[in-house]
Amino acid sequence: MGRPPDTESDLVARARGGDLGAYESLVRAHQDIAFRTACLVTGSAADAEEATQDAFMKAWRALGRFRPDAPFRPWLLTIVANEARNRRRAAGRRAGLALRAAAERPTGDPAQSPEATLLLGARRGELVEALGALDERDRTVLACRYLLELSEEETAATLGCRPGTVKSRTSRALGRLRDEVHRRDGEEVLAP
Amino acid sequence: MTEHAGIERALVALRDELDWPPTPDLAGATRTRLAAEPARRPPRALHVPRLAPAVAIALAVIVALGAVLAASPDVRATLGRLLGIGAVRIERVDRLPDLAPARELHLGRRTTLAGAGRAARLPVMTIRALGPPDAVYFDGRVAGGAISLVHVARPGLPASTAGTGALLTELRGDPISFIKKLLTGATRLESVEIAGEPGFWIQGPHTIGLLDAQGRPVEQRPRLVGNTLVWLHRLPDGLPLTYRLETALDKAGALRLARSVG
Repeated sequence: MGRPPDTESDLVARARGGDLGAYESLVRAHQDIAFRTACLVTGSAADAEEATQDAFMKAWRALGRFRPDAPFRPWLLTIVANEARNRRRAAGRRAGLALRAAAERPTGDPAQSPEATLLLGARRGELVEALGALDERDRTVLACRYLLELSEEETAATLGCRPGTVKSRTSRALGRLRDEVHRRDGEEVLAP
Repeated sequence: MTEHAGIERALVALRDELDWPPTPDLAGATRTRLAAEPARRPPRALHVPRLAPAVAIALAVIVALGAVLAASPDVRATLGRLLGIGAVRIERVDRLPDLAPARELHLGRRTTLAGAGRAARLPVMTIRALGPPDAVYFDGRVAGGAISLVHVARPGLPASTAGTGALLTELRGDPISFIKKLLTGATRLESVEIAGEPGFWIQGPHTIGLLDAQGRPVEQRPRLVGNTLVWLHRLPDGLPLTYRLETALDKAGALRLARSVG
């Protein structure tokens, strides 16, 4: 039997002791979510790459201040989001949701509500467009919560707000997205 | 949030359908950059890299010579015709060419930090005290490539002769000289130490010209510059890098920026 895999707290402890391999394993486990979060904030894959890498460097230097009993991902994402926001400000750019639906294929699930069936079956591209039409705050909070599956705490870190604000902001953003989808649907029906 | 159940389910279904940009190997790149840092342990500790004895002696001689030159104009006049550090060759001349401050800096092509690192195959260090640079350039005309980070002037960071708030250039510090500086006796040259490595603080007008691998000038005319800090940084694998920081700040301000490079 081989050695059991290192737990995250093992890796954190070793990284705090200066083990670069342990730190590489730690950030590799979170690099996808970190990079995508930075993509959301900066609106640019190139800026997101640099922001994420700089954030990983800063996190290494700050590891001595990290509480070993705390979850690592929210702490790391806080640093990534800060770095991404700084980079976006420096570039003077508004964030954009530069995402595309990979494919539009119906799910065929008969249990969906008519609204969900409509959205899931044939309108994923429209949903992305509707997301893109929202203002930046609404778009980012929904992307963090539903597309990146970030917790409320992680979303708060990404947005730079308090965790308590995330829930109310998410609810309002969902309402605006639903209205936007319906508005687009209405426009399409009315179109010749 | 039952009132939004339909739209929530649609978003959840969308999650796996999105075409995110592919994630680069950030973990590997981070490890490479960290391995290039002089201090490996997260809690910052003073780290003096071990140098090969011959290199250490040579650097000590350079530092000592710089100190002598700064202290004594007579000795400087006698001995200080030519010295250097890393990829920078410093030459004393009686008078500078008749030059006006350059309108263009000719730093190469505009790129990103990651792009510059890839092109030069070097870890790119930034001035942490200033945050991300406003622009990044890579100049492939210089052997090994030169990476330049530009910070625009702002309150507390006045514009230098180059028109920028701070201009940091990183290049390989091979014994071959890639930068040639001409100084007159009116230009003050002081030895400094940055993270245990030697450097020079050059105060006053002087010229800078880039040289290619054959030692030929890259530009027809050198550029007139003001206060500049030049220093050596050695990677753990022994590769020397040379840094050059051009700024209108005084020596203390320039050293503060240089010591935040990482």
